Amino acid sequence: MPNIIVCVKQSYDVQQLRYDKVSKQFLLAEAPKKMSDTDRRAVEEALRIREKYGGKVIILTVGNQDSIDAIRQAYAMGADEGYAIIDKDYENFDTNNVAMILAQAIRKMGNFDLVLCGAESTDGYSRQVPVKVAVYLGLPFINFVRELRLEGNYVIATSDYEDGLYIYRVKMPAIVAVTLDINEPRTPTPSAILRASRKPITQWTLKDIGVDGVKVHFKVLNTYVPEVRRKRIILDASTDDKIVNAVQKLIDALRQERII
Amino acid sequence: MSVPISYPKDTVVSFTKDEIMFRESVREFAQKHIAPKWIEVDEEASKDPMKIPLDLIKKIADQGLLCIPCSDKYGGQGGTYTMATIAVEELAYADPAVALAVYTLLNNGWPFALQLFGREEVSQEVIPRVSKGEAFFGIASTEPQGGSDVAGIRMTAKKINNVYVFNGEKAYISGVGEVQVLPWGGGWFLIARTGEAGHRGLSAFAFLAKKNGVIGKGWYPTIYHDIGRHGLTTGGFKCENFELDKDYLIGEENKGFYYVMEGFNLARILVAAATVGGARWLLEQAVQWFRTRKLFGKYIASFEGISFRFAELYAKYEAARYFVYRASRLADKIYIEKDPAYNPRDLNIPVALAKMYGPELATELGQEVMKWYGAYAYTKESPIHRAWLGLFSYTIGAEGAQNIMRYIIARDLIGSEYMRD
Repeated sequence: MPNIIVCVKQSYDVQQLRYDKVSKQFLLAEAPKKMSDTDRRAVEEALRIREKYGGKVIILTVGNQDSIDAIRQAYAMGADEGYAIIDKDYENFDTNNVAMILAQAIRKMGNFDLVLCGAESTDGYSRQVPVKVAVYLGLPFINFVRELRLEGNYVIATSDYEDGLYIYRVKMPAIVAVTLDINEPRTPTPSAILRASRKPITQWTLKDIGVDGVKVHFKVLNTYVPEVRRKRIILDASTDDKIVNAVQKLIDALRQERII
Repeated sequence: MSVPISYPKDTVVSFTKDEIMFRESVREFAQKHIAPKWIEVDEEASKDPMKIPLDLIKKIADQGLLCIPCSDKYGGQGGTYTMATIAVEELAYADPAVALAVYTLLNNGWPFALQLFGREEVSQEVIPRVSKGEAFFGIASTEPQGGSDVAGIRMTAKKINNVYVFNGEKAYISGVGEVQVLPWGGGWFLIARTGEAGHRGLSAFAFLAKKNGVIGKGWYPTIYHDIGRHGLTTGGFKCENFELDKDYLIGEENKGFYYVMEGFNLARILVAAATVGGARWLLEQAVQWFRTRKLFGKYIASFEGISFRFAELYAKYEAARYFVYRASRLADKIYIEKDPAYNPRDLNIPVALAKMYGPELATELGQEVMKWYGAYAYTKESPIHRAWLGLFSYTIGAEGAQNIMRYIIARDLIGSEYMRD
């Protein structure tokens, strides 16, 4: 019966993210948050594995107090246990820091067969954390997984690398990062949500997991909305005799842009 | 007494983290499963009212959206009344013709009223079935001679040994078709006369026209053709010596009027929530149109006749939404938290405001949006008329006519002794 640790992140809900029209800065303070979309798939996949093979689904997150909500969401879906490493400087952490902290927490928790992650977070979208967790733990890593099953002590995963599908057979313990295609996550019922809010969550500090300070290697200098300038070319094809000319101009313009 | 500038027991409208998570969950569910189907449901059932979307009812049940405030010991969700309100609002946003939202609201409000006033054994029998989507449980009060005059109800329930024998007729009742086609069946929180004339001779029953898949003898239903909100049936039924075990009496004999009034207060909150959800959909249709439609070389919202009217209606929408959630929060205080500082009567004005305001705003908005869209909105290709017709039904009846809401507000503010003939 596999014990599965699922790493989740409480992200900004980018669908509801607004920005200041003058400064182009995101209005993060007012932005709602939710668990990253691929992380939800990872939780769902872990629950499906548990339903099939038994075992436990344990949720792990690193973040600030808001991050606990991601564990509550996972509880509402049906996860068994949740651990949150809370640090007030979390917002400044880079992907190395986050991966190192997750790896350290996973080491402390011990006793696991599989670590599932979303391949990327909904807001940061760096795609770096899962692979770095695997490096820190010195365990095999499979990325961009859209199909997953267990076979004895092995995990069989289908990865989508865009040029084709790759099927891996890897001995557990292993780290697997899943994509949005892997499943449709369940939507929790009211009673599950209410039960989730009563379930305890273990909170650790960095010290609790043996991390003595964090050295930030990468600093985000600015996050802003880039301006996309449109070419605004209007071709006149309003009468029959203008169509041929307009089509030629369109072809020329597309060639110039190296689209055709 | 003076007109209150605020209610002494007013509550701040805010949502708990659970409720916020729940709204996300319902919205996702409704947008995935209900929104792509609502037009088809409305169209099919407009041709044949018995085309009841049983698959969607089952999905709603599996998602835990029925019997939300009912105790988990009866198979309910053990949630708050506000959660039920959120569910109905989001379902109406996904299905602005509101058939599925109204199915959901009836099967939240009335099973909860049954739990509050009925016998434990009856709740244990009925609520789990309703919760699983196997049975329907709504309200049957209106009769052919009228609905608002509850005290004038004519259907009789005569106690003979261990049964009540029903004779009479109910009309304009939601769920007459659903009771027949759902596997277990179900029925209504029904009001019938057991005693003297007037409201003191009325009793409430868990009237199960069909249970365990078997329709009771002496129950004769008919189905009406509504002009909108297709997908939830409206019908009537006659009782000719229909027998119901005495245990299905709700509370005490001849006290039914009081129970049903509390039940109406609860259900009205959800009716108003449905209209607010539909109104949100309508507002979005308007904004989408304003951002694309140009006339005389400019966007139509640059005409203040349109944009100012839109702003006015948006203000009404915000007010309606506030009324709805203030009332649901009060219902939580009274019925879920059982806070002794609150009394069921505290709901009268807040609920009447919500039920008066929500349906009227939604209908007015629907009409305006159709005018903004122009002739296209008058064609069947446009979905807007479906929402408008569905929402319009709640200005006519449904858990109390609009003028009854006005009466309640005026009566509680002025004093009933000043309003008698």
